[in-house]
Amino acid sequence: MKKILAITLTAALGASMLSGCQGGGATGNGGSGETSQAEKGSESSDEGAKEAASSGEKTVIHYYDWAPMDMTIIDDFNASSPDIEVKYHAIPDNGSDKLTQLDILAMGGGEIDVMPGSDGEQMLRMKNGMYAPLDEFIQRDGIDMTKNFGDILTYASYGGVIYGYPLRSTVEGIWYNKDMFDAAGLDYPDGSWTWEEYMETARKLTSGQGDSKIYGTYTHTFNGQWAPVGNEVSPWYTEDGKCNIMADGFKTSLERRKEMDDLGYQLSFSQIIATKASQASAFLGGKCAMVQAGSWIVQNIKDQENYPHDFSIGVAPIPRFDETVESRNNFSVAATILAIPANSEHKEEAWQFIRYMVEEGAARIAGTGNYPSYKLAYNDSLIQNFIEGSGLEIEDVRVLFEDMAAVSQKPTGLAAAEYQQSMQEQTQLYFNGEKSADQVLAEIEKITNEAIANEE
Amino acid sequence: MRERKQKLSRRQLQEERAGYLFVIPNFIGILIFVALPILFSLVLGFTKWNPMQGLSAIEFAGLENFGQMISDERLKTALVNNLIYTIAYVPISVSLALVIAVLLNNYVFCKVPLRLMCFMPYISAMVSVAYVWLILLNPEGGPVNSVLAALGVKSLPGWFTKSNSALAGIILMSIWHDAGYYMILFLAALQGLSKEVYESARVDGANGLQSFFRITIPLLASHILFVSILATINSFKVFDQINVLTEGGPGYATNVLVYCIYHYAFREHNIGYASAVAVLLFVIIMAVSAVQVKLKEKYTL
Amino acid sequence: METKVKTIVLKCIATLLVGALALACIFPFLWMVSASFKNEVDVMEFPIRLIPRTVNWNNYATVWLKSDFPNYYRNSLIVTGITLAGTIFLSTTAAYGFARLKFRGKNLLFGVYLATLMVPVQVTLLPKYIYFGQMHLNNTFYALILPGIFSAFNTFLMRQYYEGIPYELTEAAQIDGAGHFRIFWQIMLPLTKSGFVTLLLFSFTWTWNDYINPLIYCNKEELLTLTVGLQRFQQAQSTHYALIMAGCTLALAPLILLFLFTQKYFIESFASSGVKG
Repeated sequence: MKKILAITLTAALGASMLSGCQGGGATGNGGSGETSQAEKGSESSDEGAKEAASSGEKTVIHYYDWAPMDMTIIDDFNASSPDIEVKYHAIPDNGSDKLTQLDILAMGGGEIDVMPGSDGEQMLRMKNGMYAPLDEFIQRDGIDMTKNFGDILTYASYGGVIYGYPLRSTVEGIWYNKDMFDAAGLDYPDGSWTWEEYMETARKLTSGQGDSKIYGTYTHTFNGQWAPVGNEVSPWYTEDGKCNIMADGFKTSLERRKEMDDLGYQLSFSQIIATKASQASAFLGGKCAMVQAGSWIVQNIKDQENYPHDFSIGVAPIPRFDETVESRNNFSVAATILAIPANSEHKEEAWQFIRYMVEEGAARIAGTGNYPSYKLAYNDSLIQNFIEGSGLEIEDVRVLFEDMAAVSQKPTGLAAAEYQQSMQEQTQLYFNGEKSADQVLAEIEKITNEAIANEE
Repeated sequence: MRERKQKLSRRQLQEERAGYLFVIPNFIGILIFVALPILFSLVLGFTKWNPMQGLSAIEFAGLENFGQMISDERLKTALVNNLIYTIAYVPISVSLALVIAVLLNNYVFCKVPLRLMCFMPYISAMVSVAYVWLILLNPEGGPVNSVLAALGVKSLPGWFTKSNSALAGIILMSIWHDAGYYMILFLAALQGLSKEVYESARVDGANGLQSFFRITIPLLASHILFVSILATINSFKVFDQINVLTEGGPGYATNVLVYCIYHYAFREHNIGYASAVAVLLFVIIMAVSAVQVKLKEKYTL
Repeated sequence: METKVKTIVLKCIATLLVGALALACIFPFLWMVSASFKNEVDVMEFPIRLIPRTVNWNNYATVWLKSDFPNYYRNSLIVTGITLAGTIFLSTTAAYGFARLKFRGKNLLFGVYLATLMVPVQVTLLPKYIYFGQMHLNNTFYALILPGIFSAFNTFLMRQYYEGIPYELTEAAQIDGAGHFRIFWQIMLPLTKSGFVTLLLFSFTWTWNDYINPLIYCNKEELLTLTVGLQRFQQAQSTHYALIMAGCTLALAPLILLFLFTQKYFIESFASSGVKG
């Protein structure tokens, strides 16, 4: 009896180990030095690897991203490029999990050659050496970064080294419900409006009570959503490179957000958290007349199936801090870059693809409802791609593609990670009424300055 | 006499061989696929390492990471929060599960549907669970606060939006989420109790409550401790609820140890330090469980 | 007769009490099903509306037809099926060894088992990825199945149930000359059906609902399992909760079926003898 047991157990173990090794062999062939043709349609990794072994000499590079993707960009690149094969891997846009997933791939030596970095999160990764520097490539190709990308370049470099090539941007302004403005007899706003006018407009547009209440405006709980107006008058860092969060601009704009909450012109910070409200649902569901939101909301406006709505929409710049700020369209701008992980063995090929993706792909990126960062591609047909199917007119959104003054919600300089993290953790305590504005700003300043000192 | 001794040891030898045969296949697998990666992780706690520079860049740092912990406010808050969480979560969820299991085993109609319903939170998607709890605990107009207000409570808790109540909200939700899981464990254990003991107690005139305390609890002692060990380990591993609901906030109010580890590993990429916190966590769980295991051995014959 | 009425009344009260608790427990499930029929814009409505304004069947059609959902489902079944088969065999045998047999080093070996339970998965993500990378396990089902088959928890669980079986029952067989495998197979397993079913239920639930492991170790498009596949409906800034909930509802079906199917093993025993008068 025992012998039978022993044989069975050993056999089971042996089988599992063996199959483990087989699986390993298959992916081993698909390892980082692989050369392969498209594996589309192949059912398992084993078949894929066999195909790879028997055909083509193309260098395969792996590109991960979470945004809606126009696959024709990648297909066209693969068709036109004699020796590079890009494999695209879509990953879910699930909050911070996507960053963890990419971090592990990049840090753990996984197969990844092109990765996105967004929303200010890329600064930490630049600092920690996750991305390969791109300066050499840029110099060699003679690229004028400022001409190509303008103000958003701060999102592509850290400590004077360029680590990323900007792919898509978030241009954030105030989107408004034209029908509600018409009904209230209000003029549509433009870049000349001040905070006072914005608040007055929000007041006039607030109506109703209880469940049927319509708020004048909506400011989400994203980190630094309150800050861009302050950034118009105060920079994120002092002249000697220290944290400048205590400056008047930031303090005032922090207090202004809470004032709007308290006056009931917008859903309060706590209620947004407690009801899991989102910009798209609140605005397109007709529960607020204005919303501070990024250019990505165009994707939701296009999506009549999930966000049915029947009103006209326009977009205006962020209000001026006050009369002293010059009237020049202010938008809060951030960029998602494409970067090459420092461990990639195919940096040259990755760089060629990145350029193609950003430059040749711009018009089609616009088609997915993302705002392309590559300025040289801007023209009416690109704007038309951007809004196709949304019911918006080119004139409604032209202001997003014209000259603008870029402000930001988050710092991107020294110790950006600690600066951003402390903003996130501390300002909650102000919005929920536990601490004063001065207390939380002082805490942010303390944490950030300590981190800056460490870095230097 | 000598003969018997010899025989006995032969039997012992046989038993030993059987023991290895039963255990070793599983053990080897555990060692290779589970224990070694864990060992690798814990060893990193004694190093400084930037993973971008590859495995060769791992530098032994002794206890340096542990020294840094002394002045780490985030970690201290996380430790305190986690202890509060454990102290509240373990006894409440285990005793609640036990009571429900006993009721569901003997004293109700519609057992199967009710059991399924009690187990539902454990298998439902976290997103829907989290959302429903946000609504339940909405400080303005949520059902829980409405009831509290009706009961005449003056200062209503802000739950997930306030530092002083966010952790309480997480604890409530965790108990509710996991009680069904522990309940199933108890239900399975209850099937092993013999009917006769209860019958004779009933003949002696013991009512339901008496037989619960005099028979069920003593007979289930080993299982109760077993579930308590699981609950304690789980309480130190709490993460998902917090990640979905509060992301450690407001401020540091719901920072717990695993959240802290996650923060250092993936918000700061400080793998060495994150692993050091993991070692600390490991030692704490080890110490607490050791006591429970000793207690359990006392009740297991 | 009097006591009979009394027990029935008591039983009714207990049923009502537990029933109220149980209702609270299925609320998220009801919300999930309800959300799966809603338009996205109505999903996060406050106060909650359980009966959707308009019933939208499209979410299910979208999930089933326009995504790779059937494929995700198949992958989940493969991974869960193999894991279950393996872990049931290996955990029960090992648990028998730990519970009933004496051998040198037993406590040490079991200590290793317990220790592995004490390290949260978030800690090992990166080291395990590197380690599995060296073994070429990443992006294969083996990365999910092997750590699932060799489960310290399942062994711990079964050991708990085996320990409770009185020694008299096994000793008699031993005297009759039965080997340990026969004792295990013919005495232990039948006596611990409810424990066995618990193992089955939990293993299935965890493997089926596992999210972080497939996300990190097995995220190749054609190998995606349900939990990660469903996340595909999360998109920039706006998550498609309605679609995710439709997918979750479909994903939950096997779990509920398994639960109902296994329940008879919890009832077959002495059941209600405690109160019947």
